[in-house]
Amino acid sequence: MRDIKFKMNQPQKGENLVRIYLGGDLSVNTLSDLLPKIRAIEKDYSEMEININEVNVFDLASIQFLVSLQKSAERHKKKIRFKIDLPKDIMELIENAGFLKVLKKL
Amino acid sequence: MDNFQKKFVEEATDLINNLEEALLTLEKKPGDKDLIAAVFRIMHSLKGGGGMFGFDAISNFTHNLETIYDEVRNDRLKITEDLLSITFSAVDHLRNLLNPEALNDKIIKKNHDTLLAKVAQVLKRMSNPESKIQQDSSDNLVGSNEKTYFLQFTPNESIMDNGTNPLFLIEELCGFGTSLIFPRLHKVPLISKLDTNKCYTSWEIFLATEKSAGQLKEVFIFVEDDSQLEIIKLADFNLLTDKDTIEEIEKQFESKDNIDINELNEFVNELDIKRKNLKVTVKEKLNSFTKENIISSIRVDSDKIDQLMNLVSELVTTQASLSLYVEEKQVYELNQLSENIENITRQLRDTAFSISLIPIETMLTRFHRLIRDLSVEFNKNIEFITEGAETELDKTLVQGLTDPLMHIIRNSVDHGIEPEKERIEKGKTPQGMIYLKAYYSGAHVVIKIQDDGKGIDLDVVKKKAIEKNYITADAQLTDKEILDLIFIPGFSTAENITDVSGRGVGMDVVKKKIDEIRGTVDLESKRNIGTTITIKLPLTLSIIDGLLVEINDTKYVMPLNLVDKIYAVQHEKFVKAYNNLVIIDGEQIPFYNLRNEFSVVGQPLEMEQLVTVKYEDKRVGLVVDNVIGEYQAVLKPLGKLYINHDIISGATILGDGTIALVLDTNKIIHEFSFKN
Repeated sequence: MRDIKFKMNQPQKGENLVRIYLGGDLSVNTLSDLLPKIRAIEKDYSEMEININEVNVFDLASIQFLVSLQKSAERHKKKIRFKIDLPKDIMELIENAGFLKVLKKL
Repeated sequence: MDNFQKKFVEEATDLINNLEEALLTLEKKPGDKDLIAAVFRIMHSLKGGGGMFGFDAISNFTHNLETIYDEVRNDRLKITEDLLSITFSAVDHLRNLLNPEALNDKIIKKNHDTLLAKVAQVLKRMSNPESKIQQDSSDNLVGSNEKTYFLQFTPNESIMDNGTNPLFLIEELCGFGTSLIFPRLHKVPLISKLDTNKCYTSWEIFLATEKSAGQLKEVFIFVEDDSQLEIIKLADFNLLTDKDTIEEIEKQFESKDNIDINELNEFVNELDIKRKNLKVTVKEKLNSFTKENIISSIRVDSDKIDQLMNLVSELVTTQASLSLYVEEKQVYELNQLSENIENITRQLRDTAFSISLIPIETMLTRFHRLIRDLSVEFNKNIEFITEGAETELDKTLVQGLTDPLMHIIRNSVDHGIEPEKERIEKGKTPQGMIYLKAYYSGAHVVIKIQDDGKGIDLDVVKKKAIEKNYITADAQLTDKEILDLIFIPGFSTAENITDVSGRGVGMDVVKKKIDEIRGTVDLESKRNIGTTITIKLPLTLSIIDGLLVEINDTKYVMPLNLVDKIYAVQHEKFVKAYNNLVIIDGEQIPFYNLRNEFSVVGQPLEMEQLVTVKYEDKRVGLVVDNVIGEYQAVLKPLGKLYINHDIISGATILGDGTIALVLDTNKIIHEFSFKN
C-alpha cells in the first residue's frame, strides 16, 4: 500500500467487534489497495468500528467508500460505527462540497 | 433630565436593543441587505434623536458608524468580523452614553476614545480604494442583483482517473455566493461491488450569486465534455436569503434522488407569488406604520402597571368582603350585584395580568450576545437555539430570571461545551449547542436549558463534597443526590477559576433566586452527552385562584390548579392506614395529615376532607378539617420572620379581614416526605 495507514484490532474474547484504524492518504490513489481487506473483514464480522485519524488526503473516493460501507452494513444487518477526526482544512472542503450532513449521518 | 430626554432614553434603549438583535442576525447573514438597511436606519435615528435631545456624545459617536454602514449599504464596503466586533462594542458603549454624565467616568471615557479610534481606522481604510469591494468591470455587475440558479452536475464515472477531485469544483462554484448543496449518493454500490476509482456521485445545487450562467459554467471547463451539466436560472433574486425558504427547499428536495425540473419550477413560481404578496404586505404595513403604531400600542411606565396590579389586588380583597357581607346578611337584592362585580373583577384581574406579561424573547437577545462574546473569548464554536420565545411570563418573574439564566448559560459555555478539537475527538459535531426551550405546562412555565457538552462528572462532584465535608466518604448517594450537591452554597468543581464562572458563587445562587420567585430548578447530566437544567415557574406571582380550607379554625389556601379531587373520609381510616396510604377509587394514595404535620392541638373531626393534589406525576392527599370553597387569593409577602418557611408561599386577607396562609403544596409534600 502507498501512504495509507491501516490497523485492525481483533475482537476481544466473547465479543464480535472489530476495530479498524485508518489514516494517512485516504484517496482514490490508495483505497483500491485497501478494498480487499475491508471486504474480507466486512464479510467475517458482525460489528465494525471504523476509526479515522491523522488523515493527510481525503477525497470523493473516501466519502463514497464510507457511504458504501455503511450501505453494506445496513443491507447485511450488521452493526457499524464511525469515529472520524479530520483536519480542519479537510472538514472545510467537505462542508463546502455539501458532504457535512452525509458525514454526520454516518 | 427633562421629560423629553427621559422619553428619548426610553426610545433609544429600544433602538439599541433592536440594533443588537439586527447585528446578531447580520453576523449569520452578512449579505442580507434588509438587515444592513435596518442597522443603518437605527443608527440614523439614534444620531438624529441624540442631537435633538442634547445627547451629543451619542449623536457624534453614531455619525461615524452611520457613515460606515452607508458604505456597506451601497455595496462599497463588506461586512467583516472585525467591523461587527467594533459595532457590537459600540452597542454596549451606546448604552453607557444614555447617561449624559457617562463620559465623566474615566473608564467609560477611555473606552469611548478607543472605540472612536477604531471607527476612525475603518473610515481611513474606507478612503483607501483598495480595501473596498473590487468589482470586475468586465462582469458589469456593479449594482446588479443576485440571481438564483439550479445546477445539476453528474460527473463522468472516470472523472477521478485524471486526478480531478470533484470536491474542489463544487467548492469553487459555491464560493461564488450562497448555496444549498445536495450531493446524491444513491448510486454508490455495496462494498462488494465498489470500484474506488469510479465516481458514483452527482450534485444538485441551488446557488444565489451575482455571476452569470456563463461564469458558472467556466468552473467545469475541463470536465464538461465528459460530464452532464445543466444550469437553470430559477429566479432574478436571491431565493436563499430567508431561513423559511431554505428549510422549505430542504424539506422538498433534500431526500430525493433527483429533483424534477417541472416540480422545481412550480415550487419557485409559488415562492415568487408569495414573495410578491409579501412585498405588497410590507409596503402596506409601512404605509400604515405610523397610524398603526399610535393605535395598537402605547408605552406605559412599569411603575404604573405595578400600581394597577396593586389596585386590582385591593379590589379582589374588597370584593371578597362584599360577597361575605351579602352571604351573611342575606341581602338578596345585593346578591346579583355582588356576583356581577365578582365576574367583572375576575375579568379585570385577567386583563391586568395579561398587561404585565412579557415574552421570554425580551431576554434572549442578551443571551445571544453573551454566547457570541463568550464563544469568541473561549475560542469555542457554539450555536444557540431557542424555542418558545413567545412564551409569556410576569414581568417580575422575567426580571428575577435573567441573572440565573445568565449564570446557567455562562456555565454551559465555560464548563459544558468542549473546544472544537475535543468535540471532534469525541465524535461530536464541531459546533456545540445550547438549546433554550420555554413552554407552558398547566399553570406553570417551564424553561429548559440544554447543552451537548461534557456533562457533570459525578465522581468529581462527590470527591469535592467529601473534601468539603458535605458528605462522608462512605455516603451512598444516588446520581440525582450527587448532582443536587451542586446546589449547596459555596460548592464549585471548577478546575480553573475564570471571570465567567467557578468562584463558588454558582448554582446555589441560581437556586436561591429561583426559589425567591417560587420556582423549582432541576438538574440532569450525562457524561459526554450534556446537561439539562429545568426551571419551573408559576405563571403569576400576585393573585391566584385557590381552594380555601380549614384546620382547627385556621384557614389556608391551596393553589386551585394543583387540586385534583376532594373526598370526605372517616378519620378512623387515616388512623388505621398503614404507611400513610389510603385506598381511594381503587388507587393507593399517599397522604399527609396537615393537622398532625402542623402540630395542631385539639380533637380531629370524625369526618375529614382528603384533598388530592398533583405532585410530579402522582396524586398525593392532604387531610384537612373542612373545605370552604374556591377563593381568589391576593398574595401578600410574609416578612422576614417567615423567610425560611418554604411550605408557605404567602398570606392573603379574607373577606372578613382575617388572614389565611397560602400553602405551597409541592414543597409541603417534598418536605414531609423527607421528614417521614
